[in-house]
Amino acid sequence: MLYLLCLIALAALAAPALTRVLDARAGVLLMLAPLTAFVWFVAQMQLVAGGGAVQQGIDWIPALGISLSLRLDGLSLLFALLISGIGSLIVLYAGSYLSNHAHLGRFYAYLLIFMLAMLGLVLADDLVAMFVFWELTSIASFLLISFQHEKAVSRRAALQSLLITGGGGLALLAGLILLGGATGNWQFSALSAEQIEGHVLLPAIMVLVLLGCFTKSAQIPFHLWLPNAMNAPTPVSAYLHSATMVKAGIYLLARLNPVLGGSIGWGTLLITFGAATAVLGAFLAFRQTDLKRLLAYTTVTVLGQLTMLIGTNTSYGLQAFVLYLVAHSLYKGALFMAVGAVDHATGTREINRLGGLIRYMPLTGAAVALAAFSNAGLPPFFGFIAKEFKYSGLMEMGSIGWAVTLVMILTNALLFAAAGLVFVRTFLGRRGDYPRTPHEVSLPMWLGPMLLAIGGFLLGAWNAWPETWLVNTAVQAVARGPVEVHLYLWGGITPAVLASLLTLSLGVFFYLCRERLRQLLERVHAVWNISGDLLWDRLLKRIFHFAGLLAARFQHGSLRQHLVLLALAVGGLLAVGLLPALPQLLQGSYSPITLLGLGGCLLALAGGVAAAFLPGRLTLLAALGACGLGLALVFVAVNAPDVAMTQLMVETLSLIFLALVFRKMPTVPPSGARAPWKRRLHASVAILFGLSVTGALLLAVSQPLPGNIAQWYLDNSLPGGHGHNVVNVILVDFRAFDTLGEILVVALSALAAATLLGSGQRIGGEGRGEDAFTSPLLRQGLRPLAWLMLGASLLLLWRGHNLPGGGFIGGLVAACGLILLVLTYGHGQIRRLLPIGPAQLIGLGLGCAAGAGVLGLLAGSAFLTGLWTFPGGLPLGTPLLFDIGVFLTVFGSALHMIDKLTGVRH
Amino acid sequence: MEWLAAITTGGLAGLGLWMLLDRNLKRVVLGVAVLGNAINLGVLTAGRFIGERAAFVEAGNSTSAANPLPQALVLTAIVIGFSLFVFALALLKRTRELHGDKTTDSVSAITEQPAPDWHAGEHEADGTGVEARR
Amino acid sequence: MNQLLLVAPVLIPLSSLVLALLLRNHLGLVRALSLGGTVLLLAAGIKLVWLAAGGTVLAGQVGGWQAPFGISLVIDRLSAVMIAISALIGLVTLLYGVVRDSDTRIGRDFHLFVQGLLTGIGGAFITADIFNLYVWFEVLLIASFALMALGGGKRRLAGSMTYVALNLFATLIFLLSAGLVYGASGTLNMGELAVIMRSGEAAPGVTPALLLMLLSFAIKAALFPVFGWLPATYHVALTAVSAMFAGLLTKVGVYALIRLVTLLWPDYGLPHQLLLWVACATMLVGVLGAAAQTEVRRILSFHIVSQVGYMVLGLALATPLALAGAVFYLIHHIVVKANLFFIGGVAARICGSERLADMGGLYGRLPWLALLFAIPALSLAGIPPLSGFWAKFLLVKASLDAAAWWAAGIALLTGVFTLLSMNKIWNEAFLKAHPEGERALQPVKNMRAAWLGMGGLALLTVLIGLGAGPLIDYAIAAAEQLGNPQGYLQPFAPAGGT
Repeated sequence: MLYLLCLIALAALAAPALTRVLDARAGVLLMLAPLTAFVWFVAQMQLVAGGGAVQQGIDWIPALGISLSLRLDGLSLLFALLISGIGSLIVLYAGSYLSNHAHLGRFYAYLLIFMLAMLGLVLADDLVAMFVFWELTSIASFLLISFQHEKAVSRRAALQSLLITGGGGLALLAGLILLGGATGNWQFSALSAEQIEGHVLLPAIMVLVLLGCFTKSAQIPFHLWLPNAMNAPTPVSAYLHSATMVKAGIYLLARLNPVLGGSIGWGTLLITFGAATAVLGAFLAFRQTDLKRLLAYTTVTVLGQLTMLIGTNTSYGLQAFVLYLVAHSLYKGALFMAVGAVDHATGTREINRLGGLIRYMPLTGAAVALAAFSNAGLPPFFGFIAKEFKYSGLMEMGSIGWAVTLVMILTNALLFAAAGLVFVRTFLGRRGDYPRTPHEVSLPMWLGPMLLAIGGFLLGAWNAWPETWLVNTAVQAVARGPVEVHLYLWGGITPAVLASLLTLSLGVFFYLCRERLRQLLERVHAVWNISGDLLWDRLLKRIFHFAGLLAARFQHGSLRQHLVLLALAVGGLLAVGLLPALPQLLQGSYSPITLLGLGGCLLALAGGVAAAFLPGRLTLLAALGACGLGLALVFVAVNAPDVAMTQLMVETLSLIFLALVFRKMPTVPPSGARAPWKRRLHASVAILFGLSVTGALLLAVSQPLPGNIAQWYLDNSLPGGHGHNVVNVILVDFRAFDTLGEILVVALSALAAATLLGSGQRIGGEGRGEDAFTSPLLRQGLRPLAWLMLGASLLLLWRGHNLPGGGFIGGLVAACGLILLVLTYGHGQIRRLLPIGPAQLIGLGLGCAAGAGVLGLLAGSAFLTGLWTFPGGLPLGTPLLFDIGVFLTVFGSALHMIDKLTGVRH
Repeated sequence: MEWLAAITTGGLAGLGLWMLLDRNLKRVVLGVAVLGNAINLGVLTAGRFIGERAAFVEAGNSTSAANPLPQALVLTAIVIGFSLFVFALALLKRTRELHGDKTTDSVSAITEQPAPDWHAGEHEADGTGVEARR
Repeated sequence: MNQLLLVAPVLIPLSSLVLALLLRNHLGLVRALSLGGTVLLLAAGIKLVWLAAGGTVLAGQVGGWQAPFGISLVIDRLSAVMIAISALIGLVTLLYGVVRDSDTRIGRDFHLFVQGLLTGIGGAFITADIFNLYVWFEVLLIASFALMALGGGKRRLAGSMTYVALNLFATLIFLLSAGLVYGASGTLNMGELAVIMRSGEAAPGVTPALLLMLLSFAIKAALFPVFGWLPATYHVALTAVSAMFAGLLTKVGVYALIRLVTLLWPDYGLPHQLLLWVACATMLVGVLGAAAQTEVRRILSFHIVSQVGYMVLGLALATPLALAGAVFYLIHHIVVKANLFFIGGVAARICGSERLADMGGLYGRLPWLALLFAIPALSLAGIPPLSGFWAKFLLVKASLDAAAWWAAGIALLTGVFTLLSMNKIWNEAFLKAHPEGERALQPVKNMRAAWLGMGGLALLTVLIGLGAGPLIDYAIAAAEQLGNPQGYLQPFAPAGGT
């Protein structure tokens, strides 16, 4: 079986290319794929009829016990025959129906993909595998409905069907997962009613599964997608939306009937929804004047009836289900194809414009006649037997059955009338006024309907054959217990026969006074209007409207609002997290306050306040400087000289850059130029944020610092890292990996700034520096100073391992010195001074640092492992190399930045 | 000392956020710096201010020195903060060049305007533009 | 050898970055370097996955200093697969970027910063140290700043401003929380922190600090309600850039979330409850937001948000299957989402706009592009048998098993809406006729490399879908590892005292 699926898949893949080569004729070739399948399935009949089943499978997701396993039993066989049989005819039919259509190849591909999916669906024995194919059919149907993709109405219909069936599919998925979980296995064949008898999830499973099936098989209230789907080309309507796909839901109902059939509500739900759907469909059908839509609605009716029949769970009911399934697929497929042919030949599907076609299209007419008889349920057609059994089945149920039987009689009568419309009104009577003069269609187009219709006749007339070969096993597969199957045309005068007579007479009556009936229906058109599409459109509109409102909440395009939200989240979270710990906040044993520290804190705060509120540019610079300086003081106060130095150098550089940028800009207005409510909001957010940060800190330091890490560093710095300056040893050795990332950040930000400003920037004037620095005295003074700083930076770098200093500080100092030179003499000088550009310098630095790490690797130990030599007791090691890398990177980055920030636009 | 530092941190953090929320981009950039300072101080504070001397060790004597780890972390953080600040400056400069003296929100609002036609977009995209080069 | 492999995710892109810097004046060399380097990185990633699949957890100490004093590196199944997939996306990004890097400056910088980004991402995936994680986050952040601004132009610059401001804030929060965690727990090593948290003797300050850290990750991962920065900025960057971001950046945040939560809260707890709510809100808000958009990349951006919700859902449920689902979703999503951005970019380029109203006609003219789009789009919507279906299946099954009914319901509902908005693109850009007629479509030239990349990703999507078995096994194994993170805890086993 897998091979068959593969064969069809191959055909699908080959279709476009094949069609490009021998356009419509490709259909004949492609038809071979489904035909082969059909033949193979026919060959399996004997085995299956004997009660056996063909099994085949491969593991898919072993971890979850999901496998791609196929199983051919009676029910599957029945469907498989219909799918592959009708499928082959459809492929043939489509060839001439859509001949010389630009995308015929694509069409074939979709059609075959659908066939593949549908076969897989009915053959799959694994719940998940079945679902996979289930969704595939939805997608294929979507593609086929929107085949005339430039028509908005087709696109809408496609989306509608996709959303309804897809949504139902997801419910089904949930249902199947629950089912699998509840029963503990994923195989249909292994499921049994006992496994979930009285399981707590049973109702949920049932509802979810029913949702899936009802949406797929267009049960009320989900029926509305089916008539709209008629925007698809007729072959599609004939195949997907009458003969096969819409029956997928029915199939699953039948498949699960033995498992879920016993549970309370199953029968009731099926019968109620089925009956309602049947009635609605029948009436809606009668309103139509477009043959195709008419057929579509009759399909809805039939689907309702089938659902109902499964719900009966009586022996006759189930037999009727199987019979009717086959009968309907045959005649409805035939009728659709024929209508397509009529449309093709006359250019219209309007009943009122048709009539007397039999003269022009005898063969199609004959086919339609046979099909219509079967449809109307006249003996000796298969439809007749089906009808008889329907009645018997319902009557078996007793009182409810009788009530339902009346529904059934009514709907059947309407179907009868509809059949009359399709045949009598269209083919007999006087000649209609067609847009173009009709002609008999080509063989591929009448062959299909003819074969199907004849099939309906033969099966009916010689019903012993289907009984033994098809129906029996199928019924057994559907039924919860063994059922004795016997088909007959004439079972004496039974209530069923009377019902049929009633149906016939009613049908004739309906047909004769159809005009009056239609007017009657039109009078209550208000009902039809609210039904379906209107609600659908409104629903979609609502959803999009709501979505729009929601999105607007987050797409205000205001950076400040975004920030407020983030800050609120942070502050709120911290506040909530801190509340329980409030009492502990102030119990910490704190180190004594030094005067320096106090001064530093005050200075920093003062600077912050000034920066936050004062106007002007220089003021802001000064304020920021004060803030940083204050911090530096604090760092000194808490014995962090390296941090303090770094802070100072960074502050200096920042201020220089800031000045360079600010000087070309207008002054800054005083802060708080906001709307009052905004000011209040921002202020409160800021206060909340500040408080929560303070609180979090206090809580963090309320206990003594756990762990012994600090001490370890102090103890191992000298023996392990050969350095007295523990901080520096941590930076270049213990945690050098951090530092590596850090200098990468420095380098990247320098490059990023360069990229950002690069476009349209020119390096500042050659030879001459900033106008502010042109006084010769200054020049004379600055040059030695700059050189001094450069020298000092090297010293800092060297001694950094043992005394305050190190790569960072060295690099920053050097950068300051160089910046002085740049300011005084312009870049030209520096270019001449430095052999390589800043970018290369950065690269060199990074390479140095990384290389120092790689040396460790080469030595066979971990990345960044320090290797030391002691020439004359002087410790030299890769960490020093690393530190040089840091120095170079920082230096080069600062240089790169100054390059761009001082650059002037031209 | 810790609680004082904590309060300073909180104060600076609040001020920094306030500045980030300013309508003038220059002050926003300063806000980045101030907030950065605050967080750095915070990290150092979290490591406690134990010890009477800086974290320099002589052989065999490593007692009563300050906790070096947070110092190293903060040093790293300071430098990172510095480079981010410089990038912010560059961004400020560029914004000024392209958008003039617009307020924060009026600049950020531009992102919510409908997308430009592709040629325009791409023309900006790479200095000379794909189409232009053809 | 292992020592080398351990740092390869950082070392390889870093070295190509360095070399590219030194040779920056020869674009050809730079390009070759960055492409070659990324291929090498991919190879290393595959090797790592190979090792991890075999059950080896690479763990080591940088500089050979014992934990927790030196920085620990760990590569388990999750890290390995993330490294490999990032390298893959990086490679495709470069292939796509090669198209437009013929302008020397942009081209060179593009390669430089992509390598920088990969370095940062690699570091974030291998490190087991909180502060180190912060540093690597900064690396990838600054690289992303540069990439975001790449190309210039008013709009892009405005976007960068928003992006930079919000992400700077987030990263400062991360720094603060890292400091707080150290101050309260006395360690920065994730493993030791896990030991402390699991022992239940953590100081009162630790949990708030960690929650703060999770929040900063949540911002990076774009979770509700703090995702605002993402849909506000992703659509302004260059196509290649926004695709790479869409694929990788938020996922680093998700990775960090998964890593920390699984390490520190082995059993269901407060963070999980919070995350469960957040996840559901994220899924719904994201997908609804997407439904409201009218531009290709805006729709896709909002979808990132909603799908991050799926992953976090898996994390929040905290059952092995759910975690496996999260991991699987992570992998699937990176491949699919990046690809959609690439394809959307091509479509927009051909149509001359990414406003849906002004697109159309692609289905008729470029069936291959349509197919190329349909595969990831359907996969995103969770249509079988593509990768997205299994991702969704695992998560839905997990939440049903965990009796989180409404979570499952929301996950499924989100699926429907995803279908709806994917169909929006399909309808408008592909099925509908182009408003200005066929002639308005201009063909794209010299994009062979890009086609190769996109086709490859699409193929991968299909393969993951059809042959989901092995990957799901891998994800389940990875989830087990997350549940029992020996690589992180081993150094602190009672024997090896801390």
